[in-house]
Amino acid sequence: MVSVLPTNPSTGEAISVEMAQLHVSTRLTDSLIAYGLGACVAVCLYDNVLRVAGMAHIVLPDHQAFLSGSKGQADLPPAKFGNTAVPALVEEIVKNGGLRENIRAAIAGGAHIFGDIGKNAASSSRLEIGERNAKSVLESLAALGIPVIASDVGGSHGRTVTLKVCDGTVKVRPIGRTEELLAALGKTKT
Amino acid sequence: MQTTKTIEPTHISEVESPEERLAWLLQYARDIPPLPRVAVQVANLVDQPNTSAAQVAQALSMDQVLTARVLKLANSAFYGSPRRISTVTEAIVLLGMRTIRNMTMAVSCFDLYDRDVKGYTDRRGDMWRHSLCCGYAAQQIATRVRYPLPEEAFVAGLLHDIGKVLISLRLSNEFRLALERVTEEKITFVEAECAILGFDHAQVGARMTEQWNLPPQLVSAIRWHHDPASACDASASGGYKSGPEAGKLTAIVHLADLICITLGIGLGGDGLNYRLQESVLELLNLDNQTVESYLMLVSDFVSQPDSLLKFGS
Repeated sequence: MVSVLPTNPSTGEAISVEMAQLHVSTRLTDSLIAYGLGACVAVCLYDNVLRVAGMAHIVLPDHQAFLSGSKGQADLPPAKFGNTAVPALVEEIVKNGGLRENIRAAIAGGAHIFGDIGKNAASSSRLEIGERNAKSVLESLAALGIPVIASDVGGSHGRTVTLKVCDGTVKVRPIGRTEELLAALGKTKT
Repeated sequence: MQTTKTIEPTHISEVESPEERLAWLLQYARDIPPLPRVAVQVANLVDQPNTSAAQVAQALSMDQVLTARVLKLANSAFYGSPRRISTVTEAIVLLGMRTIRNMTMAVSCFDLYDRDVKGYTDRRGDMWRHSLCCGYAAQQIATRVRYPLPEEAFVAGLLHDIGKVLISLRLSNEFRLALERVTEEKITFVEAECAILGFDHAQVGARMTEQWNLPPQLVSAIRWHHDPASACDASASGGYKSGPEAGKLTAIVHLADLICITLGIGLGGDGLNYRLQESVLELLNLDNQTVESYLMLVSDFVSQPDSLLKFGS
């Protein structure tokens, strides 16, 4: 089952895409927002011809490790994992009238924590969820042939990411700082 | 006869030693609503082995506002009670004494954390979200690593950053400067606090919770949540409770804090500038896969539509 947020039928709005959720909108007045990303990654996909926008807020890189005898893939929300969120989001965009070949991507998030004082770099990567999340998303996008127009990943700051449905603008605001343009996914391909 | 009048310093910059600076700040702890006496009393009663449901109900009923809030929560879908709960005694019987203790603490802390800290977080209530999720994460970890009092871990997680509330409120300028140092110098918030103030929020939180008469191992966990190794070792613990149990509780809170930060829950301007003491993973005997399963658990908790987290909304 795909976790898709309900859309307000009457008015456009700022729609918060929470952890392990994905959302697709065709309402030109809507914005999709992922607040306060840490190691999580916001995947922003946009059909720049038909103007269908989608965002997923992924938490972990891969669902495989969480499959067990009693828990099959159907029990795990696809938007939670990098490797399942991307195909699920593409599918949802297509269901909403988008075309796979028009889709372009931007991703942001995947920050990392500091390592232990005095330890070497290898040991600090032990729990590098952020880096692995970004890698998983990029691999999934590559596997589906979706071009990545821009990415803002890594670092150790939190981010809030906004995708506007009307023109595919993706903006990133590091927490406590000013917002900056990451990508204009609505621009015609060059 | 001529008398001399002592002029109290009006600003922390007029105080020299770090210890006196900390004492100066703590005199303003009264500026934030204290943890209600009733909440502390309920927590202490539940910790005692022979306490009855009636005793807890009687203590809680001394604060009617708190009682009403606890009953509202007990009736929320999150706890899935099959019927309407109208008295505290019923709530204790149906949900258990320790659940009621956690609810009482969580509800009491909401007022402490529900403030807009300009420049620190994006959304009002982020400090509350972070603290509550840290409490939840700590309780879940404690249960899985067989810490004998998982509820104590919940309270320690809930209160671990209480020192930040007082610093941000009374020393907002220094708080902002510390955030700037974090960004500019790529240091942790604790390192920036120590550079600017001479002490950090963990020290402030420990002293505040000590004044609230919370159990010593809980105070120690708050004091050392950024440096859990110090809670294991008597010579490094600065007089706070130390040893295997205190060390384990502190390690649990350290990891719970890290999990919430990794997930971006209530992330502040200090971002992910947090030093994981990897020794906690050995101490708690956890591998990476298990830590990822905790990330799953906490993200599920956040996604629940009617969780404790929605209390403030």
